Amino acid sequence: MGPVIEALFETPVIVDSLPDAAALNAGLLSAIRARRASHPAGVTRSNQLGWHSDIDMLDWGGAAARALVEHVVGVADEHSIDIVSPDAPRFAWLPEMWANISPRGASNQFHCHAGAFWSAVYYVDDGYAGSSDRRLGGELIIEDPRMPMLLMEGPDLRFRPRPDSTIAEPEQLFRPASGRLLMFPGWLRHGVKPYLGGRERVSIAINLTAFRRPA
Amino acid sequence: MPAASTSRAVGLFATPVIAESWPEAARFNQALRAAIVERRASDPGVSLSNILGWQSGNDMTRWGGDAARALSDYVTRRADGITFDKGQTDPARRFAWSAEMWANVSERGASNQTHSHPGAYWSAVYYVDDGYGGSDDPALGGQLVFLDPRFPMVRMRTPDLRYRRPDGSGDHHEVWMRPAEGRIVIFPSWLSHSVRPFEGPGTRISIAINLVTGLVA
Repeated sequence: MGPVIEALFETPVIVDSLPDAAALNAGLLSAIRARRASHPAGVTRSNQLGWHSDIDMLDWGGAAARALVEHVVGVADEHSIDIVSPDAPRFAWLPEMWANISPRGASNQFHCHAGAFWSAVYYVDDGYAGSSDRRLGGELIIEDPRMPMLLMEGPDLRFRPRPDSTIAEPEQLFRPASGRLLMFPGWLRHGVKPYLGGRERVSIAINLTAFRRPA
Repeated sequence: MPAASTSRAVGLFATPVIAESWPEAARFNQALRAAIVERRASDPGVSLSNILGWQSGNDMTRWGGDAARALSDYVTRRADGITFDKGQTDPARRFAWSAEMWANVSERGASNQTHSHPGAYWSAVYYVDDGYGGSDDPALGGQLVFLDPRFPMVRMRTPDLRYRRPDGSGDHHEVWMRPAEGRIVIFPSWLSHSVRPFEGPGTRISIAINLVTGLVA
């Protein structure tokens, strides 16, 4: 028997693009800008600088917000399974949705979303204005859930199960792109590196909490 | 479900477990068995994670003879191959391993409680004799069980609701591997593992190795 390399206990990150992003984004942008104008204080959570709306965007985001949540719920259904009743899942999703506007210099501290099964971020406008310059920062950072245990015994050592294996660092960076949706488990710790683009970034976060449908 | 055709899942932060046959098994298994049986006769053993069964001290490289050294050397070379040192700047200077090695003899009913190996980087188990007597009956137990390092967090909120794996099935927080004679299994030392009660007709003989890392000066 040659070596069998098992890749156990992986953590899923879902990558998707919205099919009708241009039209959707126009509707989302106008709703978010109107909300900031009427509620300029917003809330402060993990965000450093920037404007963070309340979590009731489903109530004020209009048809575009409802369409985005519907899409996210579809993706969540696709990548989840009720192992007791796979063909008639007993769970439904309770969404919470908010908007973020990030000027130059804004960032998010590491945090997770206790209670949520899936957390999603959708980029209405990545703010990069077409630039691929990495110095503009603003990447989503996802931290390996095995940290810091993973590195305790050998800080410079990494797993390389095959000679051609990609060396996996304990922080994975995802560069935002307008129209892109990312989803990951709510318990997975993440943050945003300081964003240094010239244009305001506009993004939307959605938490999906699973609840048991009444029988 | 309009998203069904466009979304894709990326699997991150996998924990590697490497299982393979030791090419020298046929040559060395008799000698390993003889050395372990002899040691057991003179050594009362230790009691750590093992329930029943006999476990030697962790100095088997001193009493296990050429066969033990050959096994230890093989696992050490494999560890070199599956480890990348990002801090290596001088080709002649890199991490090195020191091996701790011990033997386990398990009769019917023996098991190992869940444990990990703090202080080591890679841990390995080698099966001199799986004790199944050629049977493939799962009821004979004795499987090596790995526990998800994210457990119990990954199950806290809705235990029956799972993230799908690439094949569509739900993820599991335990992975069971059935031992086989001549097989080596290598895994990160922090990974919690246990052994289900062994109910085979024979006597299982296995060898465990911990590789502790250190820099070569």
